[in-house]
Amino acid sequence: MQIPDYFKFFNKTRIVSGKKSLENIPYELQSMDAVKPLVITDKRSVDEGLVKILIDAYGDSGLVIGAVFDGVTAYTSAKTVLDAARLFRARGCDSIISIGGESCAFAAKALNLLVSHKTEDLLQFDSLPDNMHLCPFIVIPTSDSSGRETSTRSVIDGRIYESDELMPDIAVIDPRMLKKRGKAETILPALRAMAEAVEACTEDAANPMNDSFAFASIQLICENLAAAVNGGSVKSVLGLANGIAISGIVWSNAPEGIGSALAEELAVRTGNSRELCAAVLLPHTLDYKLKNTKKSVRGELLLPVAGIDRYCAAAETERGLLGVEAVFEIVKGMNKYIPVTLKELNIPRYILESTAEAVEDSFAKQYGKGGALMILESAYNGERVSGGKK
Amino acid sequence: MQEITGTSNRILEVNLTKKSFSVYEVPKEDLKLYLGGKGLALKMLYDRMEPGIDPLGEDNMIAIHTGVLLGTGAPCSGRFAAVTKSPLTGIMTSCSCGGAFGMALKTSGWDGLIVKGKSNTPVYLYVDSKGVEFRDAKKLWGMDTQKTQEEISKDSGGALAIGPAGENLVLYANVASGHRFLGRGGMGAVMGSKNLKAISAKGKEFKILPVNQKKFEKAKKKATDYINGNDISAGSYRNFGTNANVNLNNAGGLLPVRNFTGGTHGEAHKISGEEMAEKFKTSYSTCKPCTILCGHKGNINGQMRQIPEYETVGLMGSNLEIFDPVKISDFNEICTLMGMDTITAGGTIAWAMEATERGLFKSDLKFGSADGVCEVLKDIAHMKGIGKDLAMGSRYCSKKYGGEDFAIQVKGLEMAAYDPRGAFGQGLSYAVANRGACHLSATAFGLEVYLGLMDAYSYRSKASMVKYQEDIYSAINSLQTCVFTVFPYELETLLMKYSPRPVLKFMMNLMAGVAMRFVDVSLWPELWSAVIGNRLGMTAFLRVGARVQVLERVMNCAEGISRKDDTLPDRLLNEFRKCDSKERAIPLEKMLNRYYFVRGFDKNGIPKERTVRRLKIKKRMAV
Amino acid sequence: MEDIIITLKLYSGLEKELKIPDYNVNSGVIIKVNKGTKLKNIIADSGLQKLSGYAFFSGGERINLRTKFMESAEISCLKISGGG
Repeated sequence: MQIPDYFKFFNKTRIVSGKKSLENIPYELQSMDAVKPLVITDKRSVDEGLVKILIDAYGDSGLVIGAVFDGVTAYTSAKTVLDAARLFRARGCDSIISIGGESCAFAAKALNLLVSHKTEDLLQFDSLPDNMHLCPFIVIPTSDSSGRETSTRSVIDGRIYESDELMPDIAVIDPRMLKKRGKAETILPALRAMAEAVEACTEDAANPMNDSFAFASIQLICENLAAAVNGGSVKSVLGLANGIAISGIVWSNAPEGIGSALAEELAVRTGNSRELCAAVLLPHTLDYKLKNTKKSVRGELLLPVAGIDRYCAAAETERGLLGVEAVFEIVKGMNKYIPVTLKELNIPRYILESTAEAVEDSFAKQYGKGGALMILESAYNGERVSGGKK
Repeated sequence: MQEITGTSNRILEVNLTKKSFSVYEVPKEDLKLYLGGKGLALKMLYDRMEPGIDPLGEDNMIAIHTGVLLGTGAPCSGRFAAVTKSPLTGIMTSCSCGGAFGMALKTSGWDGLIVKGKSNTPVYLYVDSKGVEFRDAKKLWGMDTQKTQEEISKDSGGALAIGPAGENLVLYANVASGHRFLGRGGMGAVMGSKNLKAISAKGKEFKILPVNQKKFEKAKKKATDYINGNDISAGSYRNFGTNANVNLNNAGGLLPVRNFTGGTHGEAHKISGEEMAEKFKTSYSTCKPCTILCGHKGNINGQMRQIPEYETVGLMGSNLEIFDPVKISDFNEICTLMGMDTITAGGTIAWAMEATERGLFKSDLKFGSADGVCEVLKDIAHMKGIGKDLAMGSRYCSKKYGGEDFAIQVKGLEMAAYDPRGAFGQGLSYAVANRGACHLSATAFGLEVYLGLMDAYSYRSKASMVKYQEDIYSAINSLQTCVFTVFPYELETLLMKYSPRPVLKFMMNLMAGVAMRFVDVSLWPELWSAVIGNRLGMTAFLRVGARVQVLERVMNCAEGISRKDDTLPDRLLNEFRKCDSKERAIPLEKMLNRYYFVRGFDKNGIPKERTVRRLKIKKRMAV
Repeated sequence: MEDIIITLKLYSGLEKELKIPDYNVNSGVIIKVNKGTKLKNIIADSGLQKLSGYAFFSGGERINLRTKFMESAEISCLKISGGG
């Protein structure tokens, strides 16, 4: 394991996972001195009956749900948050439960800022302290979750709000909330979460605590992805959801990597989803890192990606390379359902250069000039990164 | 004067890098399959341009085609089409334009023009029957669109020119031909990127004669009678211009108010066509030839100016909550001189006003106030201050500063001035229109609200209706003639005029696909056949429309367009308006599924191979 | 029978064609009718039958001559146009 000279790791999210875990919510809320939560969610979750499941789970606990706000849309705007805050106050709520993907969680985090500070102005939170006293906040991931729910970040109207305190107190992962989705819809968030976990443990600043979370996340995703895609068991779906939820914690504790920066920039420039861009770039970023930095891709990566048998069978010096190969295999295996090259995504080639330029400055020190473009070029045709400093 | 019978079929291919030109003869088969105008211009680029090229790079091309009707004296034929890859949207954009340039180019003996490459220094092109002269345009650089045209029109019959916005690569810079524009998608920036300031054509060297003069005169008379007998073309348009729509849209809940948060406003009548006609003592200022006469000019503060069109009034007036027609005319004048699309400029400024209000963007702009708008427009044209960001359009700005939910654009193109929450079919039409949120791809609001033949708040039959309208508009734009002829040519036919309204309504609401088959669209193919001499039936004519529409989609899909892009801004899908009696959400997904089915696209919005083969769209031929 | 107030606003130069003296676009033509009257009867009673061929809108929606009015409303009457 790699131990840097200095590191810190923070996580305040407890994960409560498994059958009937929703039934624990009233007890968990009471233990945090809260009795009346506001449920913030989107129309899809309501239509799929997820809110009803939660209400039923409350059963005879004696507690009630203060209000249900279902106005969250894919793009989270300040207006949505303000509407939710007004409802929160009008119904006298004291805690927040978010059901749904990252947009619901982002709205819930921003809502928490507003209601905990008794204000209606989100803009005053430009820089957030780490010692805020926020309302109890529970996240219930669904099949729309991307992992960002458990992170320290909220994005409202394109503005980023970031603080350790924004992490949810509890993430409740209940198989009843994980409805079946299309194959691509299952694969993409999982690969993005994996990309982020892989990136976190292949950075210079990787630390043992974050590595152990990252490896757990990668292993859960790699073990369960194929089964979950093929309509697998409750166990595989639950495993995948856990892997995705843990990736949010990992991502919050790692510096932004070149892969996720490129995926973000590419998504903004082309209108493709962030998940898709991240999934396509994942093996190529890793390949580039392997060939251009000496230490970043450690042999340990092979263990969560390929399993104990392949790990033990590989020579120590080969493990890094085999880890990268295994990631390539996983992503290529999904080609039946999702595009795996930028060319298949129909991204015009001229956009690659400007995307690389926009990202490059932040990573020039680490990877030198031209690195970002090399990753994009190799991902364009699905070829391996050529050459390298090694 | 020499004569051209039918059409010359000759296209000038100009290479700005090499400063050379060649002549391309349009194959007879292409003429039949694509007619001319937008259709042929698209086909020429389809064969020449690789997907994925940089719109502001050397490889992008501009194709201009005048169509077969221009120069023959057919009613409302004073228009030409231009196609290029848009720097604003990254996909194809096609524009139709009036003004003198089209006629000058055609009567110089050329049916069209393809411009490629990039000049080292500013140039302008002078076209006559012998070919092209590359003239130095250093002195013209920095001049506005009107002055440039004045300067170079001394020895020519008409010119196309860009203003400072095009030179500075404002992504929605347009190209002027007289007071008319190749407006949307940033064709001006493409010319600017090629260092091409203007194109002028000598004109009056050839006379264009139809092959079958007798048949042509007969069709022409019928067309003129239809236009003069129709309430829309000879009434509203002729008297009040396109601004007749202001009161109509205000009454019907379609008017964009305060960045599309409302659909009606108590002060809207102040900027209506009726009010402007009286206030500015308007007279005609139209394309030539034109029988509808929708263009007007008037005396505004002592200056004779072009009256702003409805889209300008909607986007730079009510959408910014500005109800002073003089101020709107000032904004229009700046955009005219600088060479900028008023729809995108208005939409982007509305975004900036709302983003400023919400604290996402720093500017002095605010709704209801005209203060600073003129300055910001000039800054945009010169890429100065906040103009540098706003010059990239609302999609870019919202991605950079936030506020994507209220950036009212589709595929990067700002929405025209009809709020689809008052006409659901229009919502589908905006979502699937090839060049972005375009109002000229299909005017569903016309049938839903103006004519009241379809239930505006239902999803039924909307897909078939939008498909039909797209086909007919694409076919009309390939003739080429004015799309406004659709009202007289269709509504004045016997079946439409004398069918009982309830029957029409019943048919349209329940089986628009079938009802549309009974619409008589014979006049357009009659005019084309008379000029060319080949037979063209109604079905074949509509099939050309479908072909052009699908070809454009194929080209866009090669640039990455798919179902994910066929959507509407968050605000229009999820926010309700106070002016509506009920909270209704546009059922876009349902309409989209049906639309893909009737178009022959797969679930992801990509044309199926079978569809492409059936429409005889061949594989790209390298020319 | 309860009375309601209908404000009829005329556009597209209709007020000139109908030669309504002192027509004010802000106030329109004010007509008092019984609750539940059809639009057809409203315009017939006020002597504006000529309008029946034009387009009517109320509350941001297109209405037809058979629409009944149960409460006070503003109606706009216009000649139709095509698009911009």
